[in-house]
Amino acid sequence: MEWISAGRFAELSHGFPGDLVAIAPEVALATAACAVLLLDLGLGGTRGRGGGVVAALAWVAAVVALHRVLGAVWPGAPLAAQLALDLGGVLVFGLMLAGAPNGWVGLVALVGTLYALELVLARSGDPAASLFRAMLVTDRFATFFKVVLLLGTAATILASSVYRPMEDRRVGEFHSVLLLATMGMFLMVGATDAVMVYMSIELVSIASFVLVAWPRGDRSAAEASLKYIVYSAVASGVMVYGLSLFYGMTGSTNLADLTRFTTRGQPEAGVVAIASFLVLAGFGYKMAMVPFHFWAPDVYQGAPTPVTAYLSVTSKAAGVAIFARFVHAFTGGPSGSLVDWTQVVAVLAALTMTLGNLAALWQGNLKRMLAYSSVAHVGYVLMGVAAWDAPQGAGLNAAAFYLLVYFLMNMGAFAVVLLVADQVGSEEVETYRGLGSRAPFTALAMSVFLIALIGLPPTAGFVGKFQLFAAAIDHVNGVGRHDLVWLAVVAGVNTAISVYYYMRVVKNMWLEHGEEGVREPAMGPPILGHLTVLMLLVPVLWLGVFFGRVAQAARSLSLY
Amino acid sequence: MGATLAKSLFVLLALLHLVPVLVYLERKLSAWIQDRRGPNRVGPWGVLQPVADAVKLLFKEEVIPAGADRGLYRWAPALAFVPPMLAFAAIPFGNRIGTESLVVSDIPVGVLFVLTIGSLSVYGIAFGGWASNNKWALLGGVRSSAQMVSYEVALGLALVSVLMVSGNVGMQEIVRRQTGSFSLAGVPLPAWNVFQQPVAFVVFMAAAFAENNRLPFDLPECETELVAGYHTEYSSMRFALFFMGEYVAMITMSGLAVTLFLGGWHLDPFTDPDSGTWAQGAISVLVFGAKTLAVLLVYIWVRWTLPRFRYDQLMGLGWKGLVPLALANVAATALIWGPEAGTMP
Amino acid sequence: MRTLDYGTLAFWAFAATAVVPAFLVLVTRDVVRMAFWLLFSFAGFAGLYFLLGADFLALTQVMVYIGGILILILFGVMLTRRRDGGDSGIARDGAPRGSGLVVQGVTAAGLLGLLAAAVHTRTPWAVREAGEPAYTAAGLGDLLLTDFILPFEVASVVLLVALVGAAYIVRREPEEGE
Repeated sequence: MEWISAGRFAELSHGFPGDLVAIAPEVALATAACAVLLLDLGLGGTRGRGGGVVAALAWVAAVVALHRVLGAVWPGAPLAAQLALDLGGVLVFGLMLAGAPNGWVGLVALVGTLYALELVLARSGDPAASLFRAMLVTDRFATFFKVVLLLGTAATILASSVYRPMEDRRVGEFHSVLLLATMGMFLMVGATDAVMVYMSIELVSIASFVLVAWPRGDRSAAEASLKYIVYSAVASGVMVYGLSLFYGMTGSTNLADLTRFTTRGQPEAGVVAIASFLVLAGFGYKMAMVPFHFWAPDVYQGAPTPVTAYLSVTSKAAGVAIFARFVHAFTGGPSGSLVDWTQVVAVLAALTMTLGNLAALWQGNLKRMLAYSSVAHVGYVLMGVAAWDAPQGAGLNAAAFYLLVYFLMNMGAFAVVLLVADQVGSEEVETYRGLGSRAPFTALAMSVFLIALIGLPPTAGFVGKFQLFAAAIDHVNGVGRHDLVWLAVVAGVNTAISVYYYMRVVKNMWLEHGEEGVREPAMGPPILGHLTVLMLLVPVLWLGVFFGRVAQAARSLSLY
Repeated sequence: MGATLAKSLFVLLALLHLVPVLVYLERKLSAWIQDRRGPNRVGPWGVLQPVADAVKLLFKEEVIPAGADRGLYRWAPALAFVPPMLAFAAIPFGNRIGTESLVVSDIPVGVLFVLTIGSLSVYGIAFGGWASNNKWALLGGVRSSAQMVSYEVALGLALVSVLMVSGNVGMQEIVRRQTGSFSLAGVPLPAWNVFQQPVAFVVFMAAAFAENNRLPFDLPECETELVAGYHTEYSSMRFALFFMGEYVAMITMSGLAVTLFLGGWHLDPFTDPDSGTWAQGAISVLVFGAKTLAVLLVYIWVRWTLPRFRYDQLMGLGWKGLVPLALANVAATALIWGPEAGTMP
Repeated sequence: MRTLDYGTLAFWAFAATAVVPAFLVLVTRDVVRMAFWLLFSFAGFAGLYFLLGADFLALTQVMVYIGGILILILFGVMLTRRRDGGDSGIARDGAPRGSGLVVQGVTAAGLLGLLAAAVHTRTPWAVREAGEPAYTAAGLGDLLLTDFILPFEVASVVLLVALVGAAYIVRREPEEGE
C-alpha cells in the first residue's frame, strides 16, 4: 500500500490553509472551549493561587476584545464612545469576577465569544466563498446569523453568571459545552453538504442535551433532557432518511447537486417532495416548528433558565438559517417540483403561530408560556422564509432581522424571569402580582420586553414584525398574484391573540397587589443581573426608533 | 466451495479436539507448578480424564434456576461458544496448497474481523449472568462486559501500530511481511513483529488475557468473591459450552498473536513462503500449530503463577496503563516508521 | 419473475434479520431482552453492508454498535434498578386535555404516511454497476482526509462534547470537606 507522499498531500489538501483562515471564528470558539475546560480543571474552579492571575488576565483580555469589537463595528468611533465602552466593560467584567469565586471561568468564555465576534465582523465584507470542498459556505446570510448567535452566547454567559443554582458547581464544563454548541450552530448556518448538516446538527443537539441536564440531581432538568434526546433521535432519524433518499437519487451529498436535481423538473417529483419533507422535518424540530414542537415546552420549562434562553434564541436562529438554505435549495430554480414551497412553508408558518399562541393562553408557568410564545414566534419568522423570493430578498432579510430582535426581547424576558425566580423562587405568573411596586425597574423592563414580543411600537418588536408583514404582503408568485396576504392576516389575528397572555403578566405586575402571606421579595438588586437586563432593554427601545443602520445590515443577505 | 468447506471442517475439528488436550495440559501443568500429581486415574497418566469429564457433563441433569429468564438462559452459552470459533475463520493456519490459501476466508479486513467477532462472546457471558437470576452471576456478567470493553480499546490500539508497520490489514499479507529478517544492533532476527513492536506485543498479550477472562484478570469468575461468576448456575452441557467457549477463545487469541506478532506459519528454514506443495503446506500448518501451542502454554503458565488483580486495579491498569502506553506506541511508530511504513521486509 | 440467486437470497435473509428483531425490540417489555434482539438487528445491518461490498463499514458496524454501544447499554441496564419516578411537574400543561394528543396523533400519522409513501413510490435510484468487491478501507481513509475532512474533524468535537457532558453528569459531588 502506498502512503501519501508529501507532494500528493499538498495536492489533496489544496486550498485548505485558506479555508482554515475563513473558519477562524469557529476555531476561536473551539480554542476558547478547550482553554476554559483546561483552566478550570487546572485551577479547580477556585480563585486560589493561579486563579487570581488568570482572572486578572481574563479581565484585561475581555476589555480589549470588547474594544476591538467596537472597532470592527464602527471603525473610527469617537474617543468618547470608545472610552465609555471600555469603562462599561471594566465595570461589567469586574462584577462578573466579584459575583462568584469562579466568575473568571465565564469571563474566559466571554473573551472567546467576543474574539470570535470580532473575527466574524472583520470578515463580514469578504465575498462569499465555498470552503472545504463545498462543505461550508461563508456568505452574508451566514455572517448575519453568526453575529446573532454570538450575541446570544455572550448574553447567556452573562445571565448564567448571575444564575445562583450554577454558583457552587464546576462551571468550566458548562461554558466549554456552551461554546462548542455555538460552534456547531456556526457550522449549521453555513452547511452546504448533507454530511456537514448532520454532523453540525448532532453537535448542537448533544451539547444541548448536556446543557439542559446541567443541574445534576434535579429531576425536572433530567426529565427535560431525556425528552429532548428522544425527540431529537426521532427527528434526526427522519431527517437522515430523507437525506439518504437524496443521496440514493443523486449519488452526491452536496447541496448544489441536490439543487440541480430537484429543480430540473423530472417525473420523479413525488419522491423528491417526500424526501424534502423528511429533511425539513429535521430542521423544523431544531427550531420548534409545529408539528415538531412537542419537546419545546417541557424542555424550556425544565432546563436551567440561562440554557432555556440560549436554546430559545440561538438554536432557533440556527434552525431557521439551515431551513431557509434548504428551502432555497429545493426551489432555487424554474420550479418543476410537485410542491409549491412558498405555500407549504406558509401553511407551516400559520399552523406554528396559531398553535403556539393558543397553547400559550393556558399556561400558568411563565417559562412554559414563553416556550409556547417562542413556538409562535417561529411562525412569524417562517412568514419571512415563505416569502423568501419577495422583491430584493425582503423575506429572508426580514426573517433575519426579526431573529436579531427576537434575541433581544426574548433573552431579556428570560433574564427577568431568572432574576425574579432568584428572589422569589417561583416562575408562576401569579408571583408577578404587584411586582411593579416592589421592583419597578424589573417590572418596567419586563413590560417593555413583553410589549416588544407582542410587536407594538415603540419597540424593536414592532419594526421587526412590520418588516415581516410587509414582506408577506409584497410577495408575488409566478403569475403576479399576491399569494401570501392570507398569511399576513393570520399573523395579524395571532398577534391579537397573543396580546391576551402577554398583557396578563403586565397586568399582574402593575394592577394587582401581592397577596398577603406571599413572602415579600427583597428586590435588592444583584447589580450584574440588572445590568444584563438593561443591556438588552436599551437596544429593544433603540431599535424601535433608530433601526435604519441595523436593518440596513440585514438587507442584501444573499445566499451563496 | 468444496475447498472452503474442507478448510472449515479442518479448523472446526482441530479446535474442538484441541480443547480437551488443553484442559489436560492445564491440569497437568498446574499440578507440576504446585507440586501435585494432577489427573492420574483414568488411562495412562490420566490422559483420558477429559473424556471422562465430557461423559459426566453430558449425562448430568440440567438445572434451570427458578426465576431465571429461560429463553436467554438457554441461548447464552451458544453466544459464548460460537463467536470465537467463527473468529478463527480469518486466521491463516498455514501457507497454501497449490493456489488454495490455508485460511478459511482471507477477507481483506481480516484483523478487524477476528477482533470484532471474537469480542461478541461477551454477550454470552453478560446474558448468561443476567438470565441466571443470581447476584453473583450478574456481577460476573457486569464485570466481564466492563472489562472486555475496556481492554478491547488497548487491544485495538496495540494492533494499530502493528498494522502501521505491516501496511496491510489482510492476515496472510501480514504473515508474509514477517518472513524476512532484519538485524537489531547487529543481531540478526526474523522480521517478526514481536521484535519490531515489542511494546505492542506486551500490551496485546496483557489485553488478550483480560479479553479471555484468564488470570490474572479472571474477575468475572473469581471464586473467592463471586462463587463462580457468570456460570454459577449453569450445569451439564450448557456449562460445558461456556467452558469450551473460553478455551476456544484462548486458542483463537493465541492464533491471532502468532499471526500478528510471531511470524504466523513461517519459521526459517522449515517453511518456504513461495512454495505451494502439499508437504510445505503441511509443514506450515504444523509450525503454526506449534507456535500456537507455545502461546497457550504461556497462558497456562501465567495462570498458575500470578495472583489475581483487584477489580479497580484491573480497570486502572487498562485505562491508565495500557491505553496510554499503546497510544504512545502508536505515535512513536508513526514517527519512526511513518515515511517508509509498509516497505519493511 | 427473477431467478433467485444467492445474492437475492442473502439480501432477504439479512433484511429479515435486521427488521424482525427490530420489531421485537419494540414489543418486548424486558430491557435486557430488547438488547438481545437489538444484537440481531445490528448484525443484520452489518450483513447488508457486507452484501453491498462495504466490508469495512460492516465490520465497523459490528465493532462499534455490537461490540461497544450495545454492551454499554447492557452494562447500564444491569447496574440500574427501575425506580418509581415521581412527577417532576414540568409536563403540567395548562392547555385543554387532549388537545396536545390530537396534534401529536396527527403528526405521527402524517410522518407514517410520508414514510409509507416513500416506500411505495418508485424511487429513481442513481444505479451504478457493481464492480468486483474491492477493499474499501483505503478509499475511505483517503476521502476522510480530503473531501470530508471538516465533518471528520467536527466528529471529534462531537465526541469531546459527549465525553465532557457524560463525565460531568455522572460525576458524584465531592463530599463536604473533601
